Amino acid sequence: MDPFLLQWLPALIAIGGWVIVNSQNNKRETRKEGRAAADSAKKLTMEAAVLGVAYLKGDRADSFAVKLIMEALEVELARFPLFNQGSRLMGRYVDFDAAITGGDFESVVQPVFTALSPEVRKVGNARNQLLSEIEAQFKLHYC
Amino acid sequence: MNNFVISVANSFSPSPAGRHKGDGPFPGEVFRDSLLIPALRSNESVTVDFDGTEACGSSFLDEAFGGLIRQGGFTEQALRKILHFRASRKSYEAKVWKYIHEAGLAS
Repeated sequence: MDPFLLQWLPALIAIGGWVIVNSQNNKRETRKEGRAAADSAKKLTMEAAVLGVAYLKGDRADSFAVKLIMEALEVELARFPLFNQGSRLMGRYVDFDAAITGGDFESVVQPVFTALSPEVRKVGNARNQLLSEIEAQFKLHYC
Repeated sequence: MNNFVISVANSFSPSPAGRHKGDGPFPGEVFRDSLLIPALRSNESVTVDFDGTEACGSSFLDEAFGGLIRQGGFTEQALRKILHFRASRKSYEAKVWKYIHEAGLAS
């Protein structure tokens, strides 16, 4: 081997090693951030479902709180790359929002539902679909 | 092409809520009938600006925009040509077109 190359080989190996380790560290940090975003979004989804079902079952005191938590959830979901018009994640969020704040939400004629009402079960179904999609998005972008 | 901009927050309310006239002072029905339909009928293009609006529920959006099909006599195809949106929250436009599309399917 060329003596000049032999002289620089350790340094080149060290630099190469640094590049690989740095790249792995960056991937690990990005994955941690993605996991934090997914966990935060899932937590807000669960909280929104609880508030939304309580509202549907007759706790009408604070409809604004329900809407605010939906907005907070959207802010978290917007951290995912594919939260766009036409994406599955957007679709699941919109369906979840419709299940809670659609229908006769904030209307004087809104009836009180029971736990077995289709309207309440729709919230549960939409919540589950959104939770699944959040996990799918995490796996897609960060694993 | 003239474009008419409706700022929901400034021209109507920063906190619109509910569907029908009896539901409160700023429901979807009033927004649709007093602002949206007149603007759509007299302009080539209308942009609805949601910035500054706090927490629009889907009931408001469905009545205001889905109601364009159910009550206003518009078609989705026609609305896609003339109705536009401005909002920092991406979901507003997705929600509105969902309700317009569903109203079109049901009509």
